[in-house]
Amino acid sequence: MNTALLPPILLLLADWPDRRSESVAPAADFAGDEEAIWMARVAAGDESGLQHLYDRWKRPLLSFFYRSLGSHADAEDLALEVFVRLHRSAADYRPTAKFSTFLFHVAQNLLRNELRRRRRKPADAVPPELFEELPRENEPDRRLAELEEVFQQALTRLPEKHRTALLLILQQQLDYPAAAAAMRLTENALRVLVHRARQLLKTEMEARP
Amino acid sequence: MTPAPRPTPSDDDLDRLLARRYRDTSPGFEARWVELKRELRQTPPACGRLLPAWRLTGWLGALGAAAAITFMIFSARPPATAPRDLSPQLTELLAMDAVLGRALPLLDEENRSALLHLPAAGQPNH
Repeated sequence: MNTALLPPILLLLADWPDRRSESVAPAADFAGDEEAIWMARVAAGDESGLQHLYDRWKRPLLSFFYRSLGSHADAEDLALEVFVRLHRSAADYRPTAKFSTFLFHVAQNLLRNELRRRRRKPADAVPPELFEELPRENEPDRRLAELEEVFQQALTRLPEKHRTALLLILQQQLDYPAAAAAMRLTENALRVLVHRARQLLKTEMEARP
Repeated sequence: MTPAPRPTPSDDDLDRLLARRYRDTSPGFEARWVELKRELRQTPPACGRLLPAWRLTGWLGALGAAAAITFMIFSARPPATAPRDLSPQLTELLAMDAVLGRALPLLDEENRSALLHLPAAGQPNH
């Protein structure tokens, strides 16, 4: 068909099916992912699946919750609760996204519940003895160790959304699409959020003695 | 004397602090996990549902709303009055209505004009 003389709107209509098929990306299949297989085992009642998930994700989850809440005890509680949720939802789990997206979406929901609970019943100040749990691998300078306490306090003061964005990207090393999906944000919105969160964190660290 | 402001943390410092993770878990945490795993073993994961949870919730909500509307409609109706003994006057009035009610179509405008234009034959002459 000679389309040179057709108005633009007709050109759009002429190849509408092609354009539509281009705009809809094929659904990614994550069924072959290691974690998806483990979840299927959990659903089938195979305990080893849950143990694999625990071994793989316990430290990332503990780190995420500790940085979010500043409390080692609460971090342990929530990390274990995530595994209860995984066990409970294994039969319904569909690997339509990366497992980390699903996992941190669950983790974020639990975190928000905990923050709401804390607003109703404020906890005591966080004791600073918990930093022993954090790695101190070959740091010749003591600068980071000195900054640690200030950093954790500043991080705890950030809005939850900002803090979670920073932690998913920089601590958990999720890629932007996976982190954005976990937080139900667009990728661009997440990039902006991470940028603002860094600025805010710096400001908070400078502000408090 | 006010304390000196803290030096601005560099981007590199922030990245390194944010990237830190637990090196290991505590023995207490591992003991809790063993206990939790034992509990979970006793409660096998639920079988897959026929409907996803959100869809099930939607259907239940719709059913609940329909039931509520039905209840409101029927509860708004006036209670039926129990039959009572009628007075003689009312009985007479109802009897008259039963007889004359059949003549109501005669009051329609069309019928009335038709009646008015009937030929006057058979009518008494004045």
